[in-house]
Amino acid sequence: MKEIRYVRAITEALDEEIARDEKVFLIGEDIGRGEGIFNTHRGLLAKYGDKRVKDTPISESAFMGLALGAAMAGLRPVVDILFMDFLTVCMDPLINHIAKARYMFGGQYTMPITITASTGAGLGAGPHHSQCLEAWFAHIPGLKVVMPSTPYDVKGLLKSAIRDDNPVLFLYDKTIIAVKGEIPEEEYLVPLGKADIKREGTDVTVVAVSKMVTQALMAADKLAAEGISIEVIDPRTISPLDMETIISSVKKTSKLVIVHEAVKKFGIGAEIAATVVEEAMDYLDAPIKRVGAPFTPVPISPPEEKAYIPSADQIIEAVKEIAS
Amino acid sequence: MITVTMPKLGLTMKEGTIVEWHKKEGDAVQKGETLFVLETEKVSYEVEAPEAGVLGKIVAQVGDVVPVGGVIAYILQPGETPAAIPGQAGAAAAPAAAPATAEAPAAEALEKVKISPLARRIAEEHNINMLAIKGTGPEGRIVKEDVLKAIEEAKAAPAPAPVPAAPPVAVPAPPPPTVEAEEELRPLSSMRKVIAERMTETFTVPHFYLTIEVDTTELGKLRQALLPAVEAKTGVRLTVTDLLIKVVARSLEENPSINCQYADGSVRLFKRIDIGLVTSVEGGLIVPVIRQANKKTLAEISKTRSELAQKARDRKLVREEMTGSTFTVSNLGMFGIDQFSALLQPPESAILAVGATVDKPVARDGQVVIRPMMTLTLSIDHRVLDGVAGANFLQSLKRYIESPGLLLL
Repeated sequence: MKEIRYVRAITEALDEEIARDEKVFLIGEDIGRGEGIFNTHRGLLAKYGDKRVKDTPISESAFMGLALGAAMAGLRPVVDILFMDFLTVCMDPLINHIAKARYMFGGQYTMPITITASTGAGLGAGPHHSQCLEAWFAHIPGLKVVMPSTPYDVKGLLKSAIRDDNPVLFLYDKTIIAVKGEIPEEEYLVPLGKADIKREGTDVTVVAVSKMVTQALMAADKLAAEGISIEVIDPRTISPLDMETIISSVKKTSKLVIVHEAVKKFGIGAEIAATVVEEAMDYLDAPIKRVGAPFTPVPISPPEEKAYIPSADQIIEAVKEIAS
Repeated sequence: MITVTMPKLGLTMKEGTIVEWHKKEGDAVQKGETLFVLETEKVSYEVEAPEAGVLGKIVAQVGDVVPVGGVIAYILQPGETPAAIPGQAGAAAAPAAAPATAEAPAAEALEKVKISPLARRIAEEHNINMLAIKGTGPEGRIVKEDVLKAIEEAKAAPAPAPVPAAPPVAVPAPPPPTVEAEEELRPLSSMRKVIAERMTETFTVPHFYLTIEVDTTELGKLRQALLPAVEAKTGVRLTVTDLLIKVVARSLEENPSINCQYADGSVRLFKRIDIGLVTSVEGGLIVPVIRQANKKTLAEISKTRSELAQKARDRKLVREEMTGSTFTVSNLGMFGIDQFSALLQPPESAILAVGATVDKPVARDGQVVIRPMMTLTLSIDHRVLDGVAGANFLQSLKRYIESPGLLLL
């Protein structure tokens, strides 16, 4: 095992997949000489040259369309969009074409496109550079959405995403890129669509996404000191969503809290809650609680931004409301 | 305006009886205040006002049997006048809500039991009365632990301990029966469950049977003679059962000791003679009661019996028409059964089982003759009645059946 930072796990995955498959190439703004604004692409241009690592002008819609054509021609593009907020400017190629091409052309083409983009508030980056919009994309049939919380999951999931023949939106949280974690020395993959139980517990199931996994684990420590045992489940992949793991945990604990940084309203918490009620209502012993950001744009003022981001304390509060 | 409807208090509940009103029309009511008490086959339950207001109209009176979802009362809210109340008097006891819409208010009423889905499921699996559990969850919600506690308590006190007023708490259900491939497991209807409970109860009563054969020649002649007159008067065909009820009523007058019930160390002797008649309906039995049978003419008995039987088949009998009989008659003669013994209907102390009338050779004045004979079997609670009392009663029946003219005396 070795210790690695979250951001470096991205670099390693990209590095290994470019080396492994000559059809893989990287494209985006500031990823070549700039090495990615969060240093995600460090050393890759120097190592593989500009045929495999393409810098672009500020033209997301154009190079997302380019990726569509490249995929149709048999390549495996890895498109970097910096901030997921910027996906809004290339929605047509992504939603109307990339997500639907396999379906509309009767499977004549595969769409092995991976789109990397960052999420998350906490850097004072303001309303345009901090959003968590995963629910939008999870709502689109044909797109897979991945949100890893640890270096181990980042590397294993990104490699699986690049090898997947479907478009995968790989969303990493820019505020935890320096977080360290252990990964194996040898190559490994983490399958898409498989949740991970980050901590086992008996009293309340807490489903937490991306950065919120860390908050949930902090909450778990504090709650354990008070005699409340929570089970922390990290879906890792938002779509497809591993409801089986979540439901089997709820059947064990009978109580559920869902945590995401995205605004609570219409978030993926609603989807998870609804599915649990549909499939396991008779196992619930308390209302399902959701913890999410307030329904407002991400504030730029540091104290307001801090108040905006869901915290371990809010998770503790939600758990205590239903843990009798 | 709030419509108060019959809540559904259990999966099998189909109707409930209003046993007491705590409020009268025009009274102001607070949310949560007890409006009335209802009774089902299983529980009695205080129904609270869902909202504050004025009790605008009581649709279902004490004694009325109201189907689940049926309208019981209307509560007027500020600014509303009684003119808003739909329908007029006489709606009582009628299912005011159409079946299609009946479910919604019923579900709404069930919502009043604040219980988690998990706790509800466990309670239902263990046949625990949710209404009797105190919730300890947030806002008083019944949660899993509360139900598990109730199950434990029920196990700790397995005796039924029937305190009549209190709803029966927590009867632990036996483990679910296993079903083999060639079998089908059907849940019992609520009527069937009641029959099962009551008939099982019978075996706690030490009882015995007495049988007598009677010659129905004269009774048959009388029936033929009276048929047109009774039909002209009532529109109903006089039956042998009608005549037997008349005969039983008269015999009970002559043998008042039979008209009694064992009552926990005492014997309750009835002055009224109310005769229950076991009536077959789809899926089970109902026992409508012919009140004051001894004071009714034969035509009145015939008419009452016919009306009650029709109501029984239509499931329209109200509670008072099915309770309080002092003696019961069960006639299987029309089904070709020669003789049978009936199970007592607790708390009654006697029941008469009537077999078919069959032509048989009998000895009369040293000669063998063919006569229509009927077998009567009396079942008796031996705690309060002995063989001689039963024999005297049967002799009395025999006398009236063989010489029905005596009924005129």
